Amino acid sequence: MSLLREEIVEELVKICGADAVVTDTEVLQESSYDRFRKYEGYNKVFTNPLPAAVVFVQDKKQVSEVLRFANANGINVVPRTGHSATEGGLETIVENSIVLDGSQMKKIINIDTYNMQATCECGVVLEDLENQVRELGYTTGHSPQSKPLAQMGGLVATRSIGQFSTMYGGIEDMLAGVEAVFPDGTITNIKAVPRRAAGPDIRHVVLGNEGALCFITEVTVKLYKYFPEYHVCQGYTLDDMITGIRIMRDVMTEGYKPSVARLYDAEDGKEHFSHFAPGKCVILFVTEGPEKVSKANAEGIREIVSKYSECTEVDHKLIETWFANLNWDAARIEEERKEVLETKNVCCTTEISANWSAVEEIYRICKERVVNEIPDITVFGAHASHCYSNGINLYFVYWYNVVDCAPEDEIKKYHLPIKKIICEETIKAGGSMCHHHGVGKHRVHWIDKEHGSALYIVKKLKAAFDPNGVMNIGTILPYKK
Amino acid sequence: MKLLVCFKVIPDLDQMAAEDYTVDERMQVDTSFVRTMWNCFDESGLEFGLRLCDEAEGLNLHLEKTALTVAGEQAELYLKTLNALKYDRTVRIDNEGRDIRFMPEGIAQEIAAYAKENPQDYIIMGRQAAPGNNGLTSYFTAATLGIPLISNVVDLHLLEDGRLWAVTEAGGSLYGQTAQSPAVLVIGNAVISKLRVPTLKDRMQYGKKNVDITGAEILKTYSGENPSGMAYINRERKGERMKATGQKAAEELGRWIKERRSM
Repeated sequence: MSLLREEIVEELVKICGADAVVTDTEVLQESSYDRFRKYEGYNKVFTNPLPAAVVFVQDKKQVSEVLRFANANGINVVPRTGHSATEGGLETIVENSIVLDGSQMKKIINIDTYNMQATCECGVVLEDLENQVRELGYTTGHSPQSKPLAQMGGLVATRSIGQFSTMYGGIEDMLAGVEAVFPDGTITNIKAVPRRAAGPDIRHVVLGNEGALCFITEVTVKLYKYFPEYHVCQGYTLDDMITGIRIMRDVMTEGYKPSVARLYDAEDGKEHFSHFAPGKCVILFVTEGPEKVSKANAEGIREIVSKYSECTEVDHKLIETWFANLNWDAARIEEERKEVLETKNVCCTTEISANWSAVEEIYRICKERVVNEIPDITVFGAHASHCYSNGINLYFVYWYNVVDCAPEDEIKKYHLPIKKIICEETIKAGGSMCHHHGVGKHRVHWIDKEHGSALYIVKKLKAAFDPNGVMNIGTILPYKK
Repeated sequence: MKLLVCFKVIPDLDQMAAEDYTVDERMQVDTSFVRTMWNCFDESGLEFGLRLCDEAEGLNLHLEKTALTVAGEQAELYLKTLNALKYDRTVRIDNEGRDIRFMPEGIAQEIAAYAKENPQDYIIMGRQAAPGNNGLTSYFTAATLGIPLISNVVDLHLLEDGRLWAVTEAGGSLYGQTAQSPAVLVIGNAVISKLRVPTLKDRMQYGKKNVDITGAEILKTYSGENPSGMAYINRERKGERMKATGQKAAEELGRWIKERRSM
C-alpha cells in the first residue's frame, strides 16, 4: 500500500532533519518541472502533480537512506542538482514524488594538479570549479552555456557537452571516476584511473543515466593546462549552411583540433550576428592549448577556409565579444521570463547528431517541414557546435508566438510537434535524436526507434538497477501505468 | 489618424568589457563589435504604435503608422522587422556616418522637417537613448514644430473620438489625460517594454517592402557641439559582510556609515 504524503515527509525528516525537507507549495511547484515547461512555469501554471517534498541531502549516507526508503515503498525519486535541465527530466509526473536535491553537496574535495584531476561533490557549480582551477592555471575543458547554473552531478547524469568539445570532448571524455548511489542504497565508487580493461566501462552505466538508475554523489574530472594567451579566434561570413557543413567536415577530417567549431545558419545567426552579418551564415573557430599547437591548428583551419571563396573573414573581436556573452546565468533567465510573458514569443531547442552523409538532408527536411507545418513560427534556424571526424551535431533553435492557446496547451500545439518532426526525420536518416540534452521525458516517444535492437540493453540496465521502477519514472524509458 | 514613431538602434553596452572603453582621437568609443538593439524607450513606443492600431481596428478607426529613424545602414534590419510587423511606412534619414551623438537639436530638426512635409497627429518618441542620453531630442522636436509635448508617458490608449488617452507618471503618481493632437508624446518607463515578434511568414511576405531613405539635409550643415573630453564612470560596487546580528549589527552599520561620511 502506498504511503500518504505526510508519512513520506515524516520519514524524510527522520532521515535528513526538518531543515532539509521542504514542503512549501511554491518550492514544490517550482520543483515539478524544468525548462521544458518554462512557458507554463513563467505563467505560474503547473500541470504536473506536486512532489511530496524536496529533500536537500547533505551526504551520500543520507542519499542512500532516502533511496532505500523510496525503493522499499515504491516512491518515485527525481534526482537533481542545478535544476537547469531542458527535456523534462526533472518533471514529477506521478503523485507524491521525492525530489532528491544534491545542490547543497558543494564541496570541492581535491584539486590534484600532479595527476591532473579534480574531485568534487555533485552540487558544485561547474563555474565555481572552473574558476578555482583557472586560478591555478588549469581548466576542466567543460563549458556548456549553462556553466553558471549547472552542477557537476547533473552534468554527468545528462551526458553534457561544452563549447570547447571539439578539443576536450564531452563529459564522457572528461570523467575519470564517479561515485553513485543505487536505489537499494548501495554506494558505489568507480575509481579514477587513466584507463582500464577490467570488463565493460562501468562509468557509462552512470554517465547519462538521467537519474533513472542512480544518484550521482561525487565526480572526478580531468584537468588540462590552460593557456588563454594563445587562444586564436577566427570567424567568417558565408551565404550557405551546406557549404559551412562541408568546411567543418574538411577541418575535422584533415585532423585539426579547434576547441570551438561552430556554424550558424542565417536564421539562427540573426539572433547573434546581425550587427555584422545580416542575412549571412557565420562559421567560427577557436584554437587553444600551447602556443605552437594553437597556432598550427589556427593556420591549418585558415588554409582550409581560404579555399572557399565565398567566405569573408571578420574582425576576431566580433567573435570574442559574442563568445564572452554566450552563457546563461540566473539574470538571463529572469530577463527571458519577462520577455516571454510580455511578447508570448518562446524559444525552444532540439539537438541531434548525424554522420556527415545524413546531416545535410536532416537540416533541409526539418527546416522545410517545420516552417510549412507549424503555425506562428518566428524563427527556425540551426547551428552546428560540436564536430567529430565522422559527423556533427545540429542544434535546432526555434521561436514561436503562442497564439490563441492556454499556457498548458503550448507544448502540445508547438513544442512537441516541432520536436516530433526533428526527432523522426533524424532517426529516419540514421542520426541520433539526442546529442547532449538527454532524453528527459519528452523524447521517450521515440526511444525505441532511437536504439533499435540495442533498446534491449537499456531496458535490462533499468530492470537490473531499478527493479522497483522508483528512479525518475518516465525518463529515458516511457512510463507505463 | 497619423502616428509617427521615432526610434534609435543602439549598441548593447552590457556586452562591453571595462577595458573596451577607450576613447579614440575623434572622442568616440568603438562599439562596432557588440550587437545592436532597440533603444528600450523607443521599443515601448513602437509597440504602443502597434497596440493603438489594434485598438483602432476595434473602434473602426483608421490609423496610419510610420516608423522613423535617423541612422546609418545598421538600422535596415530593424526597419525590415517593422515592415514585417506591418508598419505602413518605414523611413530612414541617412546620417551618412556622421557623429550625431551630441546633436539632439539637429536630429529634432530632421524629424520636424519630415513631420511638416508629412503632417502627423501624434509623434511618439522615447525619453532618451544611449550613447549620450541627453533626453533633449523630443523637446527640440516639439519646440521646432510648435506643438505641445507630454513627457513621461507610461501608457497609451485610443479613444473613440480618435484622440489618445495618455497616462503619465510624476512624483510616483499616475495621471491620465486626453492628448490633443498634434502633440509629441515622450515615452518613459512604460507598462510595456517589448516589441512583439513578427512571424517568419510575415517577415518573408512584408519584410522585403521598401524602406524610404532620405538624406539628412539639415544635419549635413549642422555643426552641433564638440565634446572636449570623455571619461569612463566606474560604477563598481563593493560588498562587506558583517558577522553581528540584531542590535549589534545596527550599531556596527551605524559606525560604518559614519566612518565613510567623514572620509
